Amino acid sequence: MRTAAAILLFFLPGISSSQPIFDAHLHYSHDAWELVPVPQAIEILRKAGLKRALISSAGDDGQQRLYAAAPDLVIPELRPYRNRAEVGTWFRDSSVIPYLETRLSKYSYAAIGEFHLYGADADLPVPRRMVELAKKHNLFLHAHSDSGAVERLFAQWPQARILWAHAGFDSPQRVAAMLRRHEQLWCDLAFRTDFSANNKVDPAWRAVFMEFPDRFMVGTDSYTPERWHYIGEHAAWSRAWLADLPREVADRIAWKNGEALFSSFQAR
Amino acid sequence: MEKRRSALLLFSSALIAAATAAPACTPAIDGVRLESKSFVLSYRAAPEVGKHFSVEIAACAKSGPPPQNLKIDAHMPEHRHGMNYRPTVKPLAPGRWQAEGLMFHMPGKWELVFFVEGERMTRELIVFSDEERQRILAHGPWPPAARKDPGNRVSGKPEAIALGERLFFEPRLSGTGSVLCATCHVPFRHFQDARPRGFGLEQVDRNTPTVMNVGLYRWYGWDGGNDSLWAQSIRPLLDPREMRASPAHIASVIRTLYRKEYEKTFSRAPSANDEQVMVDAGKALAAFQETLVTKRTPFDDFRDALERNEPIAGYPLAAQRGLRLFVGKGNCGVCHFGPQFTNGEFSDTGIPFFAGKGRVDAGRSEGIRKVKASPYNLLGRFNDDATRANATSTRHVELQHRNFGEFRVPGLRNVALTAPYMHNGSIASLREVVQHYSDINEERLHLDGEKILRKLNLTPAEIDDLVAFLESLSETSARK
Repeated sequence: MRTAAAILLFFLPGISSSQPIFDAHLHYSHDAWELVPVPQAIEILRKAGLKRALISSAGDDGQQRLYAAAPDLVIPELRPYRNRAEVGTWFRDSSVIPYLETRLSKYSYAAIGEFHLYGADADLPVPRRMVELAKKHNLFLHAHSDSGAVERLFAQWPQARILWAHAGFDSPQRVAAMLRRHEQLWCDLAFRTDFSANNKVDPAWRAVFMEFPDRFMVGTDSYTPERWHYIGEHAAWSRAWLADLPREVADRIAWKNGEALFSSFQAR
Repeated sequence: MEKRRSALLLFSSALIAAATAAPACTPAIDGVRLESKSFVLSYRAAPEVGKHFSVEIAACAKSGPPPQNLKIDAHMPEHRHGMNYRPTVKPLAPGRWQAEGLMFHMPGKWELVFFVEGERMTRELIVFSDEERQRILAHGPWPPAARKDPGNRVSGKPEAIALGERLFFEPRLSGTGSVLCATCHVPFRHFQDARPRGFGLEQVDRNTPTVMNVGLYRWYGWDGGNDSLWAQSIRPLLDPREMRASPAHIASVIRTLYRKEYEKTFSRAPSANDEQVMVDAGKALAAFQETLVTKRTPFDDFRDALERNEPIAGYPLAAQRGLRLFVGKGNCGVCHFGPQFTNGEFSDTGIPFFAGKGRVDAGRSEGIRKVKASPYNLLGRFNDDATRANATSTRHVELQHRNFGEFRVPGLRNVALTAPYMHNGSIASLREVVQHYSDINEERLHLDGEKILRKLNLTPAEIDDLVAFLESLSETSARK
């Protein structure tokens, strides 16, 4: 049961399972540490064929543990939550700022995120200060946001590099419009399946991928500990639908874009 | 809130029997009974909110002549206001009155107040809005009309039902000759086993669901890994942890022990093809299980009276309050929909799904893969519906990321009789289930997942009421 063979049969008509994957959306929060210990987590990532992974965790310690164990594999990003209960309150909580400052002074990160921020909340003092910190430390912003919040973040920092989580759960047409408007905007496709059915890419999404082949990445979104056991399946699923795209486009979305964007962190 | 245009109905329920001695007199009408120090009162009313209604009232004195003076009023304790209209009381006969001109202009909790010779008697009433009423009515009628499975050519056939019943209790079908379907689906336990996790020949990862009402499902198993009852009936036979049989073994049992019954059922001798005979055994088992339908419940009586605009006695107020939470604040009816109290689909309700150290039960995502790959699915050659119209769900079901860790939304009929709960039997009591939804761990739910799954923050009284309602979905022994 649940064999890799079964997964491959379902997901993988005609593509190599060795294609690297850059997973741009993983979490390793406090409840995962015991249930999926660091050695097992690293093993899961390697077995899934992940070249690298952008990982955050509420409380921040999770990805630091992973990074210490596998610096070649893990790219840490700093989430502005001490626990996930703060997901809907952090942007009004001034204590978040000293927390971020402390962590930024202690550890290296590639991004601040993933954070949840919508509409006019992006202009509140705490998110504004967070953007200033990202600017100071030259970090990506990984925003689980609507397009309105993304626009406000760019208004605060026009040179920002924003990774738009889940492509905003927005339509391909609106995502394309955002990408045309903002050259420094990239998207992860985590927790979405609407761009592909039966391993065939949706025509509207295909047009966006072809227009912006260097602006997308895949991601699993391990928001519960159990979903660490989905990383391998997600990687297989990603390879399957990407196989419907021209190879170079598929490679970029699968891993090359992530590598190119975060190479500066890897070089540190 | 604009409620006026909603046709709202008030339904009163019988007074719970007083712990004191039986009343010393009997009012002249049969209705909801109230009692004070000196009097016994009975009333009947079936008002619609936003419309004037009347109340028929009778009262008698525990000793002495019938009372002569009666007043009636109503108010909403939580809103601290009463009606906008003053009712009139018309005497009809000694100890009998008709009250006119009452109107409940809002849904919610009302209190009807009677004064008989100055002695006060009250009755709490739950008034449902038109929207609530429609949601309640959608949970019936019950039982549903019998239906045949078009994918099973012996569905509903008496010979098949008889054969299926014998096979259900046949240990020789198992590879070891020691377990039977009824080992886990125990009749006197409402066709489940009361264990957290099933145990045939070995313990499995999941709770044994009841097979009552199983003929009405779209998908089978906690993961929906089968799309027909007959295919699902084969699954535990072949599972080495459950009955550890093989197609050849099952076919041999049929050929040697049930040849005559098989021939009566299928109008032919058992085939030489083991797989075909095994599938036929599954279809006979399914024919039997289709007959397992839960009885009517106190809720059904209440629901039907609501539909007929009739007053009802006997449905506890706590259950009515719980019902209002179920279709309202709790949004429970969104997933636990319709007469079976299930939408027949799957959901992640924040229950951890590790199945052991370093191992998860992937639930629906595994189920979709299994049903798509199964040689016994409705797209395959064993489906007796030549049109394949019954295979629409199988043809169109799509695997999505959210399916990982989703499990069946179970029906709620007889729910009070089928503990423990959840796919892994991890919750022991109904109260704890309600508490789980009240305190649901939102950290386990994706922010862009099911929006209704948010903390309900129920009060202890509300939890009591929801449990009372859920208990009213279970049959009582006296019912047919």
